[in-house]
Amino acid sequence: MAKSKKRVIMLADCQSFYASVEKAAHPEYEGKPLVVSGDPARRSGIILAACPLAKKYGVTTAERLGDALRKCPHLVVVRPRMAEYIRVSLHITDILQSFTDLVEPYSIDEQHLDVTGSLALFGNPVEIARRIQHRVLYETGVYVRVGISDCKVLSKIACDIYAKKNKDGIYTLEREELAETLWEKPVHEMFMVGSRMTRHLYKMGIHTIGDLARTPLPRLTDRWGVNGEVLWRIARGIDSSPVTPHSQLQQQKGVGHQMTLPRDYTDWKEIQAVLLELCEQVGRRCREKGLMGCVVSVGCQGADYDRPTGFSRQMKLADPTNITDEIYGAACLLFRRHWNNLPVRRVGVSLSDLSPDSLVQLTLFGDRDRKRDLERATDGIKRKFGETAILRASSLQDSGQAQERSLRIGGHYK
Amino acid sequence: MSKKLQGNGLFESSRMMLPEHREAYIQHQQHLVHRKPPLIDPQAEEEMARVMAEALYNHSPITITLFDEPEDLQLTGHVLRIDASRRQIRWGGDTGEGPEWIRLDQIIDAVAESSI
Repeated sequence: MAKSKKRVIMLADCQSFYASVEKAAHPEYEGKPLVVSGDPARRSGIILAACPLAKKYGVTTAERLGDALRKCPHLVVVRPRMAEYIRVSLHITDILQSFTDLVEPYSIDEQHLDVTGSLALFGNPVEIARRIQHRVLYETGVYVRVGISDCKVLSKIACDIYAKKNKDGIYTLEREELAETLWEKPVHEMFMVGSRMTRHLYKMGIHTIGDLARTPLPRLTDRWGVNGEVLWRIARGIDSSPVTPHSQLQQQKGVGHQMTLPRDYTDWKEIQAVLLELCEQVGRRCREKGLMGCVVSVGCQGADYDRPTGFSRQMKLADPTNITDEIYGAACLLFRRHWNNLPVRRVGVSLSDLSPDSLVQLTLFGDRDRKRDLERATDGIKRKFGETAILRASSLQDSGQAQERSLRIGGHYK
Repeated sequence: MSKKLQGNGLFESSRMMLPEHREAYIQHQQHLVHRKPPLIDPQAEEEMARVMAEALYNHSPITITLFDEPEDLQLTGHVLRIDASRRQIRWGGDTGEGPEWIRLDQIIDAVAESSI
């Protein structure tokens, strides 16, 4: 094989993403410490993002709002707007795509890009990084830091360990200099090493990333198997993963929804209401995508995560479907069969083994055409007037969650 | 070999994305590729012509689907005239805007409102 050209891979990471978006949207908060918090009304809410100013007061993400307010009483607290953050994230994707078609989101605020083929058009990597920074800041008000290297793992590390801490917010990690740069750093700063892993590594006498890279591979694989090898490869910067927009993100294996209930549900009637809501959502998403599935899975969990209860079961349907009632029928059957009547805190329904719904097998029994027409009408109403414009009557019961759920994304307010 | 060690496995397995973000991203990506208009079966074409002709003579409303980027357009309104030689129809939309000409090759579906 011909020796391939060295790639140029970047990771663009948004600084305090949610907080930056809010600051850009509210110029009146400029110069004030700001946090985005789960539910500002509740002091037990959790900090989702803190602006750099708030971080100076010692506020950290994931701590309780009450604790943060003790550190900084004049903190501006903003409620999250998840839909807006997704929109801004995609706007940034769009900007990155003006430099290369190889852009791959890693999370809402981190995206990889491969600019190997764009160097002739836009200049050297650092220049490109600077132009990205300018455009994103100008168009969205978000400051991005860019890690540059020749593979995804090293670009991520270049960003996390170096670019986030230097003045320019841009850092190039050269493979040839790993021994003098990266390998000197403590192992807990490395990508994929959490606090528990750090403790294990310390016990093995591994303190720096260099120690990890120089450890014989079998010592790591004996202990952690594949994950041991993953760590060893990261420390050595061995990574051939492509930056690909056609990642698994786009293939859909199943459509599923789950929800955490506000309290334990013990009554079958109550569970039925949320089960129907979940089936409705699953069915609707399938219909919107033009898919049908023939395997229905249902799962539930109890409230006590230390003593797990619940089940996860699936069944195959006679014909592929995306009709809410049919999914619901199967879900109920599974639930009745496997549920042991213990309190339930979390329920999920999913439909898999998907196929396009453009070809349908005619069935002799049941009035599928009528149901399909009905759902086409209700889907249309929801699309036009919002999720709660038309609801099942059972969702109006105390146990129904549809109205509350329609206000949220990922458990936080839209 | 394990999935984590090959292809894009490491990043696929550690990616953190909200389902809503994922959906929006897929839609964003779909808008980047140009869509091809569907091939219409002669029988379907005949059916559409019949629906439009009926709508013209009965002054009854129909819904037509137009092929468009990035996604199809649905219009509900009346067929005011059919110009077979130029392969277009005069269309009066329900939205209150004035009548317009629509090319037949843009129309990929026509359904009478009464049959919905």
